[in-house]
Amino acid sequence: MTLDWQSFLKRYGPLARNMARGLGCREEDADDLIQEACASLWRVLEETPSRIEGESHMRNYFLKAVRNLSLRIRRRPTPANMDDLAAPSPPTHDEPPPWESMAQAIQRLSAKEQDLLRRRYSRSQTFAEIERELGIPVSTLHSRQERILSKLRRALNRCQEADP
Amino acid sequence: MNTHLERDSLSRLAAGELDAEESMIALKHVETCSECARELDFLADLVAAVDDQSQSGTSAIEAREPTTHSRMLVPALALFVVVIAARLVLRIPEPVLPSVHPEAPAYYRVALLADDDSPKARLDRAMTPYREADFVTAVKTLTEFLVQEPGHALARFYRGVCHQQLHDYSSARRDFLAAQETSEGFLQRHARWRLAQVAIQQDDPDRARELLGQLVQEGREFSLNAEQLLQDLP
Repeated sequence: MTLDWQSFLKRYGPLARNMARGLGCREEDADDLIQEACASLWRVLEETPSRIEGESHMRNYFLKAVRNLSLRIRRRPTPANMDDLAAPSPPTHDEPPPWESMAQAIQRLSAKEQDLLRRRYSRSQTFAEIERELGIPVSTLHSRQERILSKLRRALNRCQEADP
Repeated sequence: MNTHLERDSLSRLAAGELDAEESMIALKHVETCSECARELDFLADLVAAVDDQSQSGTSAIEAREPTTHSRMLVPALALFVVVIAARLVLRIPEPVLPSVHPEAPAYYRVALLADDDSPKARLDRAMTPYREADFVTAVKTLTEFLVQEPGHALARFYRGVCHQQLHDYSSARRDFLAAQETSEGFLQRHARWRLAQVAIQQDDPDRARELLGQLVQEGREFSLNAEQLLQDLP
């Protein structure tokens, strides 16, 4: 089973980083352990490919590895060398990556809605932190996020339906 | 058999809010529940797109970049670039300690240095891990310095070098771009040279050609290297 590492990391790397940070890892450690999790996944794919079938298994394996490593890794001086991790399959760009239509859908949101997504999923701010900064009650933020996510789901469903 | 996860469990996982036990429960559930797995993919795409947008500070589509961790270097070219870059780094004047009169007593000099809070002295202290090739710590100390001196082009440049050493090419690119835009002369050209390297490392030969072409046209200290690298590009 080959894997397009570029697309895979592009898709799941940011979520994994948020997860690692949430489990107490520092920013630089989060990057290191994502690399470590990739190396682990790569080894499994090379040595016992039958253990992992399909991208959903890879995603689960990768995220669990990130979670487990987050609990173990505290500090490492240098990151693992990732140069050879791309070896199993060169990146391909024949199909648009899945986050591209998501990015387009996000761009159609209002500035306020985009700001909330950035705070939640890029800066990993909690609702309580956002409330302190913006003065908007947590309950309002919560329902606003729900509305945004529904809006994005609808937009993406429309995209998928429009594609042949 | 599946009862789905609580409505916001996965979005909290994506935002990094679940503890170790909760995240394991969520991930285990996702293994057996296709609906929640789809939701996790939806959130992964959301985080990836938002992260991309935040990092670029512009459009999420236009600024889509290759990932930092999965770049492949062409070994021979990489070696060439590293050798040239190492040589060029040596040309950059290192920040110097504030000058103290040589006749001053040692304890006085030490006191002066310790109290010196000038940007130059603080940058010098921030550069200590860089000199020891501890690039992870150097990113931190240079970032702390840049919080106080946000427009400091040389600090952005050095932090870019650290990111580049750590294979974080997107961050390196941002720092070199900022250094290029906020400086002039040698530092500006050096930042441009580094941007060309990063473009190669990010598999963007067209961008690298553009930058190297500029360096060749300028006919200054990087033009010969740029010319040679242009010839080696695929």
